[in-house]
This record gives sequence, structure tokens and C-alpha cells, in this order.
Amino acid sequence: MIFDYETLKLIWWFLIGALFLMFALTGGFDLGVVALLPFVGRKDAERRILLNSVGATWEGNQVWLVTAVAAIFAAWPWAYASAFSILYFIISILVLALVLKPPGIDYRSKLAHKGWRRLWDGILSISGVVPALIFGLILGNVLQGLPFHYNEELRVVHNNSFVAYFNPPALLGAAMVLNIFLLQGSAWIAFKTREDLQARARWWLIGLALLCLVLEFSIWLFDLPQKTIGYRITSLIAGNESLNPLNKTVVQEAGAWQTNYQNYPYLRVLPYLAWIALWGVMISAWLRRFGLAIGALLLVVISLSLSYMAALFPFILPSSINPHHSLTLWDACSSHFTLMALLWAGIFFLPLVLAYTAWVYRVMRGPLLNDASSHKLPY
Amino acid sequence: MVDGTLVNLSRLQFALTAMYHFLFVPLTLGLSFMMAIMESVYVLTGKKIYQHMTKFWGKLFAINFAMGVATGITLEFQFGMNWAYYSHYVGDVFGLPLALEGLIAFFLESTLIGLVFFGWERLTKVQHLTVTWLVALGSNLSGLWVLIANAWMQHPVGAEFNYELMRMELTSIKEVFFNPVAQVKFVHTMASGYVTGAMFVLGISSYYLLKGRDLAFARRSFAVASGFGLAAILSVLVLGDESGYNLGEVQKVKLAAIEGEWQTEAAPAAFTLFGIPNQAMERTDYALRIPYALGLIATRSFDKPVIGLKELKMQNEARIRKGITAYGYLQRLRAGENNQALKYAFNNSKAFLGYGLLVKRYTDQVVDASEDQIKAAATDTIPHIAPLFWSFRVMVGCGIIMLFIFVMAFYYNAKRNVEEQRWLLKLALYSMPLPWIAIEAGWIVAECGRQPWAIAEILPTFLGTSTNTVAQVFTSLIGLALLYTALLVVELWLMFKYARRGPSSLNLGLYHFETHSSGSLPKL
Repeated sequence: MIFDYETLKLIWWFLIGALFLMFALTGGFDLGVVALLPFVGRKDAERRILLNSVGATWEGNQVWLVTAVAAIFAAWPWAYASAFSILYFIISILVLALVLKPPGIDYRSKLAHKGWRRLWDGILSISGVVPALIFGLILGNVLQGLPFHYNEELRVVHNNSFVAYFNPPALLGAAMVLNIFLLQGSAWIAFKTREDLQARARWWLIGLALLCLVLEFSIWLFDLPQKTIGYRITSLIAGNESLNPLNKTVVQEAGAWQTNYQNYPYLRVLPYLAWIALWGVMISAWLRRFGLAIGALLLVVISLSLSYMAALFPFILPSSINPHHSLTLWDACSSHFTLMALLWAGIFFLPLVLAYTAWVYRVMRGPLLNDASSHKLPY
Repeated sequence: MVDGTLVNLSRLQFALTAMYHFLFVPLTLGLSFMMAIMESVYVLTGKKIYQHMTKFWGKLFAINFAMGVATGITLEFQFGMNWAYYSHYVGDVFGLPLALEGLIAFFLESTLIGLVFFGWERLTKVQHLTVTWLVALGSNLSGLWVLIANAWMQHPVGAEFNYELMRMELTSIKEVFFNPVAQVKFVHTMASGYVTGAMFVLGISSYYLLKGRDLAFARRSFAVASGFGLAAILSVLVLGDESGYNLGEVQKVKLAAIEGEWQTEAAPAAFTLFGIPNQAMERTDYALRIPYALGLIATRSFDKPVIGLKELKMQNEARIRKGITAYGYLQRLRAGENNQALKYAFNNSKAFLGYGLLVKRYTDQVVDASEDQIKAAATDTIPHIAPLFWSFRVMVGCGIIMLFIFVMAFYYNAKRNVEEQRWLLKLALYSMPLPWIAIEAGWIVAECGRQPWAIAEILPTFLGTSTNTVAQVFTSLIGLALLYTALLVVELWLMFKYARRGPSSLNLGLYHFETHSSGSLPKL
């Protein structure tokens, strides 16, 4: 094996983060576009153009999410088993929303009936909005810790009060993620279309960027990072060994999520970068440089995601009722052998995936004009 | 102790979502290949009609594909949602093929599918053809990885139990990938997907031939379907026989259950063609039997016996006793006792640990299990026979009818007088549900036959669940059932609508409803 266990654990923390990030960077645009479908597209032909703008690429983009979840299963079985059952209720809703999107995109234009199309437009919008909200809820709840512990046979036991998941910090997270996906959607529409659609999407883009600045500012204004309860490992971790998550000690304290930022001050660049890039989005939208706006948005998503990961590191799933049982990247992972096998697969296939995805985007490049070829239902 | 209702609801939800998913997957597998074949003919001969065929069957493919993708997402989330302990216990091994499925296959299929539809004007002929072939390849590779994962549940190889973390860990990738069960399963399942695609095209083409419209289009589609279908159904049947042999080697209980063979018979055993399995009395009533047939299929010999269920149950009872001992050692190890003799003893008995876990259905004090509890656990090692027995016969019956249809279709197609064989066209049309019935029945055989195990001889199904409440799972089950059923109705409705309309739905101005003003145009 070319990597020792400790290095592999770190690599997989990065890779799983990267897989989810790739979903946000690609699928986020698609979710945003379908969420905005009935709002930005007013006429039937316009809505068809919007769907065609993501039509050839959304399916591949969604696989980043599928692969990220599968990678959690394979590389962090503890986290997969625990998170998905603890969050049973909200993940069920996520699943139902995700199920609606593929038939929605495919079936919406299959009949000319007006009511049929309106119904699907509504459903599609829901299938874009709901996943965004749930991703945000999950991020917000994980940050505060989830109510679980392990029994003597290492079975995850958890409280089932789902109402608790709708708390203010989690709702803020939901609002942030929705806001960002909608930003991505409107930027994509402004970039890919022309005339009325582009003009409308531009105003959405400017407005949403402003809202996002307000949200980010409020996090700083209310000093949330300092006030939020965080977690910190207090025992020594032998990273190179096969570890049981139950054999460590963890404390819960306000501001603990700041620890990494204090130890590595250069990490503080990340939230500021997000702030600056958001201004960049707004200014480039104002100047109608939509390609630039998309570039700046990618930077926003990347820097916000990395800020989140840097705060939590090395935690994956903190436990609020028994902090010692929290899962970290050191102890929630698969065996050395499995992590290495997975990495080989990633080394061989990820570049290939990126290459053919880039090729598909290249083939589909160019704006969708308001003419017959863009209105066509291609399947 | 385990909440039986929770286990049953979790199983029901998994069965529901998996069976719905598998209404769509086989058609994707088969139709993607047939589209690739049609497009190859187009590129090689330059005949436009083959491009129209690719596009039209592609339209129906898309209606189906959307549902396949949608229902697949649920399955991936469900292991963690409803089977948390399962995911923990085997994630180190089982997660690997699923991750590879995403990375190697699902990406390829999903990224390129867009270009199949959006790429006709943006790609050269050869580029587009390549894309279509890669989509077919991707969907089939996808199946390969999922079946490797499933085969590992049926016949877990290449893994070792880690008592400190209470889980199975991967020891050999090669053994997992080249699992003999996986290989047989792969070819059998893929070929049944090809049969589904072929029956679909054959049936709908027959409809056009019966109606006497778009004849050139229908004849050619019929020709492709009959050839492809005949090859596919032959491989399904041959590989089905191979699975029988395979079961005789590794899944003896399943084989005996399918056959309703309670007593071990003198070799070679007879094959029970029909009968009424009677689980309570442990016999098959009114059995109609073919001498020697089962022994030949399952052992490929005249002298090796096929072991009956009663004897298998006795063997399992002995295994449960050993498993209880292993569980005792495990408890001492986990309590911190650490000596070589204990580890040695545990390592020697841990192969039976799973059998010891079976007792947990009746008591948490595994080592103190009573005789009655052990007997009850031994009875549990034999799955319900009737669903297996009947599903298997339904599957084989459908297969034989389809073999007949494809042989006839191939024959009359070669003689070039298919259109005169109206009985065959009608038979092909009304037999369209058969591949789906056969496939769902096949999965019932495979998965009910695996019971009581989630992972054969390692983890009992009832232990694999999450600590959800019954109310939670009930709610999600109802939600999924309603949504899936509504979507299925919509899907079928669109499918019928577009199939009836035929190639006229391509709006090329060349086909029946566009050229015959007398025909009433089905509105979209």
C-alpha cells in the first residue's frame, strides 16, 4: 500500500468533501434552474428553453451526489449508517423530492395540455427547492451535533424527535443553501439564454446576491461562530490504527468550531473570500458579464464549503447526547485495505469522468436563442 | 430482542422500492443495446429509417429511463436509512461495489445519455454512435457492480470479521469481484434485461403490423427484436440452468426450497414439476415429479445427492449451537478479556457466529438460549417455501413461452412472411408483460430464498435494521408507495400514448398519422 492509514483517512476526508462539492458546483445549477422554472420562465416556450439549458447535463451532474453517498457508505460506513438513520425523516423527504425531478424534466413537455404542464412546473420547482432546503438543514444540524450514541453491540441508537431538526441555526443553513442554489440557477439562465429570460434572470441574480450578502453578514453580526456550541477532541488519537469511535473523549463548548481557525489563521481567508466573491457575482451581473458571475459563484461555493469543513475538522458527525461517541475522520472509516482500494478506483476513474463531463459541456456550449431549435423537445 | 413489525415494514419498504426499480432497469438494459444496434445499422448502411428507429425507440427509452434513475436514488439511501446495522456491519465490503458502480458505470451512462438526445445535430454520425454504445455499456456495467454487491449478500467471500469494531472487513477484492455467484447472476440478469427490451420492441412492432401501418419501420424493428431476443432468451435459460448448478454448490437451502424437496432423496433426485408445498407438515402435497431431473441439474452427476430441507435444518441446528459458543467468546473478548487461547477459540468458531446471532430473535441472552429457542432459530433457517416454489415456476413458465415466441418470430422473420402470422403478432403483443413478471418472480426467488439472512450465514435480516420507530417507517412506506404508484401510472400512460402514436411522434412528416389524413390522429 502506497499510503499509510493516517494519510488515507485524510485523503478520504478531502475526497468525500470534494465529491459533495462537485455536486454543488454542477448539480447546484440544475436544482436552481428547476426551482426557478415557473418564476423566471413565464411563457411555455421559455420554460422549455430553461429545461433544455440543463437538459443534456443534469443527469450526469446528479451522479456526483449518488457517488458521494456511495463513497460515504464505502469509506465511512459508521457515518453512512448513523447519519441516514438519525435523519430518517428529513432524508425521506429529500428522497421523495429527488425522485420527482427525473420524470418531471422528462414528462413535462410530453403532453401539450396546459394543466399538465403547469402541474409539472410546480412539481419541478418543488424538486429543486426542497433538496436545497434539506441539504441546508442537514449541514446546520450536523454543526450542532446529532442526538445519537452507540450501544454495546455498536448499534446506533437515536432520538426520533424530528421537530428538533427545525431549529434556528439549521433554518439559517437551509436559507443559505437555497439562496446559493437559486443564485447558481439564475446565473446559469442569464449565461445560457438571451433577451427576456436573460434580463429577468439578471435581476434575480442581483437580488439573490444581495440577500446572500445579508445572510453572510448576519452570521458575522450575531457572532454565531463564537456562540455556537462546538466540539473538541481531548484525548490522543493514534491516526494510524484501526480505531473504535467509542474510545475517545470529546468536550462540547461554545466556540470550539473556531479552534482550527485559531490554530491556522490563514484559514480565515476562506470566509472573506466568499464575501468578496459574492460582491464579484453582483458586480459582474450588473455589468452583464455572466460568465464571470458564474466563475465568481463557483468561488463562493468552494470557499463556503471549505470554511464549513475547516470548522468541523476532524469531526464528521458530532453527537450531542454523548460527545465521546462523535464520529471523526479518524475512527468512522473503513479498513486500511478498503480505503486504499477505493482510492485506486478514484485515481483511475475520476479523471476520466471529469474528462468526458467536460467534453459533454463543450459539445453543448453556446447560448439558447429564443427560436425553434431551442424550443424543441429532444426526447 | 427485535421489533418484528419494524423488521417487516423495513423489509416491505425495501422490497417495494427494489421491485419498482426493477420494473424500469431491465428495459433500460435491453433497449439501450437495441438502440445501439439500430444506430450501427444506420451508420453502416446510411439508411435513414434506422436513424428514425433509434430515435423513436429512444423516445420510449427516455420515458422509462427517467423512472429508472429516480427509483435508483431511493435504494442507495435506503441501506443507511432502514438498514443501519447492516450498513455498519458490512459497509467495509458492501460499499465498495456500490461506490465503483457510481464512479465507473453510472457516471458514464448518465453523463452521456444527454448527448444521445441532444447530440444528433451537434455530433458526427460516428461520435453519436459511440455515445449510444457507451450508454449501453455504462448501463450494463452498472448492473455488473450492483450484482456483485448482491452476490456478496448471497455468498459472502473475501471478508473477515473484526470483533473490536463488530464488522466484516474486506480481505480480497479478487474474491469479491470474481464471486462465482456474481458471474452467473450477471449474465442471467443482463440477458433477462435484453429479453425485456426485445419483447418490448417485438410486441409494439407487432401492434403496428397488425394495424397495417408504418410497415417498413415495424418490419425492421421486428427483425432486430426477434434476432436479439432469441439470442438473449437462450442465454437466460442456459444461465438459469447454470444458476441451478451454482445453488447446489453454495445455496443449498434455496435450491431445496425452490424444489420443495423436504427429504434427501437417493441420487439423482427427482424434480418436482408442480405440487402444493406444505410448510407445517414439511412435505409437498400432490407433487408431480420428473425422475432424476433435479439431481442432474443441481449436481451434474448421477451419484451426488441433493440435500433436503429437513436434513439442512438439522445441520443448521448444529451450526447454531456452535454459533452460540462463538458468541460467548465474542462477549468475553468485547468485555476486554485478552488472552491468546480465547482469541484462538473465537477464531476457530467465528464462522458460525452468524448462526448464533439467529437466536437473538428470541433472546438477548444468546449464551443462555433454551432448547426451544434453539429449535425455533433452526426452523427459521428454512425460508417460506410457497412463494419461492411458485415464483420459480412462474419465472420458468414465462421464460418457456417467450422462448417459443422468439423462435417463431425468428423463423417467420427469416421466411419473410411475419405479417401473415397474425396469431404470432397477437401473441407477441399480449405477451409483453411476461418478461416483467418473470424478472420480478426471479428476484423473489433470489431474495426470499436468501432469508433468514441479510448476508448469508453472517448477519440475520432482523438484526440489520435501524433503530427507527414503526411510525416513521410506516409513514415513509406509505409516502413512497403512493408516489411510486402515481408515477408508474403516469409512466405507463405516456408509454401507451407514444407507442400507439408510433414513429409519427418524431414529427418527421413521413409516418402514418402524418401522411394518412383519414386516420384520426391521437392527440398529445
